[in-house]
Amino acid sequence: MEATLNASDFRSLYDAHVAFVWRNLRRLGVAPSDVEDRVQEVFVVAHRRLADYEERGHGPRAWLFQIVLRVASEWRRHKRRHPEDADGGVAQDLGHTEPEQADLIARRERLDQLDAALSALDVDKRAVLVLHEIEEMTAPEIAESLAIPVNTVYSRLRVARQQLENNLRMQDRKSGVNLQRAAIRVIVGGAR
Amino acid sequence: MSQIEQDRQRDLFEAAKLDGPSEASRDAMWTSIQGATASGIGTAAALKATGVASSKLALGIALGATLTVGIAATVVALTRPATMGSPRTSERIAPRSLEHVTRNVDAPPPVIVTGRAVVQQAPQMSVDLDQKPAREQASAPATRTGTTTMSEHDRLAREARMVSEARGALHRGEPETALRIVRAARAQAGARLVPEELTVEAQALRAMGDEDGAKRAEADLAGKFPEQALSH
Repeated sequence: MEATLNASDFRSLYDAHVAFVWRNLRRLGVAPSDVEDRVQEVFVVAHRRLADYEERGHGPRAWLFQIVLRVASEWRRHKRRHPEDADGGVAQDLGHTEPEQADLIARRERLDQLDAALSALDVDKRAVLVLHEIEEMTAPEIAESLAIPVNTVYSRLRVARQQLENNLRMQDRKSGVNLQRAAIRVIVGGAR
Repeated sequence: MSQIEQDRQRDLFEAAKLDGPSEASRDAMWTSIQGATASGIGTAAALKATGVASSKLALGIALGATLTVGIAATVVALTRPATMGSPRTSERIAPRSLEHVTRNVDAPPPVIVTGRAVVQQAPQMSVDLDQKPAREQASAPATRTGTTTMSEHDRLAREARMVSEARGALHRGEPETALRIVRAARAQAGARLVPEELTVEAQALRAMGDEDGAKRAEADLAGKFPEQALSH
């Protein structure tokens, strides 16, 4: 990548980073039904700010992630003001129904678990965890992406891992309780 | 953290690494981005080609591109057949409607056969600002219609799936679910199966005991699509 980006690089930038933008919007809480629109927004903003981009040795991911953070933050603010869709979310669910293949369903379930556990983390810690564990960024890269000191990256990462672990345990406990309740309902129903 | 918990976290992160949009979704998003940034990309490309960094020229090109897009949108609105969707279809095609700016005016208009209606796309003005790399251009079809038609197919397939889901719900004796699904389908931008959706809506309302609502839906259907077989 050149030191600066111009319009002719834009398609290449899109192709190389659309999955990165998509993934991180999702992990930062943007709903599946809205993620396409938010990806577009990120790249429209990126296009508008091409002139501001400066290569600092980490490629454009850090720069794009800053836009992703802002777009995701605006989306969350919008959702807080307008929490429900008029249709109750039916279009969202159906619009993103993939072919019912076992591996796809299993992967989606894992992503749902991860997103549920991540959603309990505050955005600062979530961003560090996602960039490190999923995007495999180094601490200096993350520090640049989030405009924070490297030591802060390490401390947030440590706390985020601990919180994620706790959240996943809590999920397990809840699903265990739900299974117990379901079993009791079946047993009681059978006795009647 | 136990080994099991570590493995589980690793498994979740690995699943997340594979997350991303489908090819069709990528194409659809690029088309929309291209539409939203068309004047900017066109301006920059023109400046790069001529080496003239004139702000007046850029403004002129930007205004020209905007005007061209506007004309193309008007052509689409005026040439769409009345039976292909509700009267509001032409209003609802923005913002993704800008995908048509990539279509070449010399290319034959693509025809999408839906099984119930034949939808013919109007020829568009040529504002091809695509910047695909050579590798992709070599494998791309001769015209730029492929991407747009794929996107149209995707939307139509999604809508058809929703109608099918609604019918299934109706048959299972879940008219409330059927009603929610068809109303959601109809609310989508560029809904093409409005007659089918109104028909299911009427059936669902009737099954719920809302005879007046069912009659209103049928009247709506007959009013909007008098030539549709479903209206009779």
